[in-house]
Amino acid sequence: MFTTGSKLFIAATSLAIAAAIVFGVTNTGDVGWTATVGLVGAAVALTLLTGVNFFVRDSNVGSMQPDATTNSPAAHDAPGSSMWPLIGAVGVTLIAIGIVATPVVFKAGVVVVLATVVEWMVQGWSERASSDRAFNAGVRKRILNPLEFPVLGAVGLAVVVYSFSRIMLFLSKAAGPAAFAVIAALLLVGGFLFASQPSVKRSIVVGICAIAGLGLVSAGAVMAIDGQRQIHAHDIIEADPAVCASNAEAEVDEKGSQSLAAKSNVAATLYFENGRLSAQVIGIPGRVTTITLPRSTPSNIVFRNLDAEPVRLTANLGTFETDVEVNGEFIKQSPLTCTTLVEQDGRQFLTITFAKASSGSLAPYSLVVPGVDGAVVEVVVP
Amino acid sequence: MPRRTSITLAAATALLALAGCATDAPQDTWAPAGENAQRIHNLQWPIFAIAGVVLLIVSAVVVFCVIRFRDKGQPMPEQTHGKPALEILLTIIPALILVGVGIPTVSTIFELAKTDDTECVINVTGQQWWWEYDYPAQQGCGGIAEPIVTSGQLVLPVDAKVLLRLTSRDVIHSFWIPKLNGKRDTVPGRVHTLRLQADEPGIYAGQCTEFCGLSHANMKMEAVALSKADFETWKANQIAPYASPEAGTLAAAGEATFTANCSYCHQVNGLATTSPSGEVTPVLANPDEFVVSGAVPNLTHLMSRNTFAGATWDLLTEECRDRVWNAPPDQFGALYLQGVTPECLNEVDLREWLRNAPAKKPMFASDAQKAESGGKVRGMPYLALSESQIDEIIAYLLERK
Repeated sequence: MFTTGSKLFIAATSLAIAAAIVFGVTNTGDVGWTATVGLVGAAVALTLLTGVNFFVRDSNVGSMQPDATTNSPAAHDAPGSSMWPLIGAVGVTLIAIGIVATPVVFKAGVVVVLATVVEWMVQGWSERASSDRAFNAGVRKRILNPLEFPVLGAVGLAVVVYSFSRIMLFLSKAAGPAAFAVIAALLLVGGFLFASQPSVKRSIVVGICAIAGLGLVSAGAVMAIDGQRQIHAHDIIEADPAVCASNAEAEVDEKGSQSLAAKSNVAATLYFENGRLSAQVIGIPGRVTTITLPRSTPSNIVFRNLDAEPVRLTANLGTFETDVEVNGEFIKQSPLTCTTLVEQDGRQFLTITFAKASSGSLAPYSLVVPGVDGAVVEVVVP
Repeated sequence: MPRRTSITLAAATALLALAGCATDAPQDTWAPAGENAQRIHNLQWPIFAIAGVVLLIVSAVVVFCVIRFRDKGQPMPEQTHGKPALEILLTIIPALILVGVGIPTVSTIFELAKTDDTECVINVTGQQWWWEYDYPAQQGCGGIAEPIVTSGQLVLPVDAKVLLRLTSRDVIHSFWIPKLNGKRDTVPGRVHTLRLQADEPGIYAGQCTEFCGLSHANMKMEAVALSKADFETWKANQIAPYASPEAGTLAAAGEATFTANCSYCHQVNGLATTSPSGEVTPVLANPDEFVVSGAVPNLTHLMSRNTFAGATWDLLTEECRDRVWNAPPDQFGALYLQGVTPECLNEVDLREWLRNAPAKKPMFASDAQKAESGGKVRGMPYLALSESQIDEIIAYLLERK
């Protein structure tokens, strides 16, 4: 019942399982865990090989079989050449280089080796399916094409997207949209021409697409190496509290949003109307000029400007003594935060957190419109 | 089915049914004690009945088919497809049932969401693992001139439409006082609303119903409904000025011990230190520097409430607690406003808490988790207080009414 090869694989499988159990029970920690996983993996792989070996009966032909001559492996066509040993060697080389160079190369090598293992294994198995090469190739396609096509498609798409993104980042801010439009137009025209000329040779279409793809990838690679254009970082309000002290337009205000998607479940809605600031709080009728907010948790405020002039809402987040002492007095700090300028009928969100109760601040917490007398809503933090 | 098995199954079913008949069930969802809970009750009874009838019909048909058409070796019956009349009927009936259920459900949801006739606003903030209640200055609640902060027990005037504005300081919690309304999640950065209204003075128990960490099960809450007059008394007491203990007493020593050990996190309004030169400095708590949530209970009037540590333990002995909980509505307010007297103090649990709080209420799973929080704790830490220090602190806290 058991062929010689099967006995070998069964013994090896048993040994791996026993080793996994013994090693797993007697060794703890990362090393023990890793080794146990390796041994379990080996056991699984050997089990698979045992099954394959059972299936092909050691690939031997009994000497007493009458049809041995026609069915023996020697009677089959020799399998064709395979590129996978070469690709596998490249993968191993990448792993070796990656270990000493960079993790990215190492990971790429691992991916190549894993792909090689799968492809080579299935190819080897399919070449034993029959004595007909074409049939064997069909078997291989049926198994691997559902895996290869989406993976290669995704990789190809990622390469194109990445290359294109490098090109767009390299080009100037003005040239980017132009290049985008030109490339898109070329693609559209090319697609239209191919579709309108069904008689055009397949090889021409493939050739043009390959040249375009290579050009895109090459340009992307060159521009990635050259680096992206200098991108100017816009100021943020937290980095420049002086912005919050007035309604003068600053760089941060240039493209400030004037509308909100989320307007519900906020702590309060503040209105600036006729030069006065007031708050609406759910459950409290009318508008108020004092609101209570919880400490140590973010509170979301909606600010709405109903007046004609653009204004901002500034939160005075208290005044506190720092640890820095000058001339016998501790330096005081008064943090601020604010919205960008809000135009008439515009809305903006302001998220504020008060770490300490009002009693812990040397100056009251408040929300104000800078430069407008009396436009104040006091904030009480109990 | 063997007779013994039948009897066992019947007994188990009967016990299961009897378990729903407990009378001492403070969180009974079928015993509304306020307008909002009554609305839910009025909705869930007919829906329960409709669902029960549907269940009975479907179960009966299934059981009949299983028995009547069980495999007895008979040939496969004829398989038919496409009976438009039957299919339309079986579509229309469930649709009508859903419409019948949906109309009162939507109507009730809108009724429960009303806020325009609010008579009192209370901010509720959840954190691991207790609830803070602050009453903002307002004309509602009978008029509140300065904010009131308390925890553990939510005190509200009876028969008033009270609007809770709920949020959270750390993770998502859920506020639920079953006898007064449904549950509502509290989410950091969002303010959700929930209307409560109690018909009669008394205490109504609740429980956080969104898993929120290690001590989720210890995150309880109680709503205390007081008559309008008693609520006014309670408010006046909450803003009463701080009274220092009499010099030379155990409580006076406790004030110093409290200041040295507890006031880094716990605020007692009015507590101050006096320097040798006579300069008075208010003692301000900074829980944001020590606690993950950035807040701990304000203890200014600890003994005016009946619970501590997230309403997990009673400050009253069992006998005194039963007296308050079971008091008739007309006597409840007076009993509650007595607060915790020395005779009624549940010193056992309070002392255990002060000895080693984390051993009584789990605060963090491991030291590694504490390290991940930058050394901040998620609740009261172990303070290594001596027994004499605990005596002093208890004496001091007993005067915080």
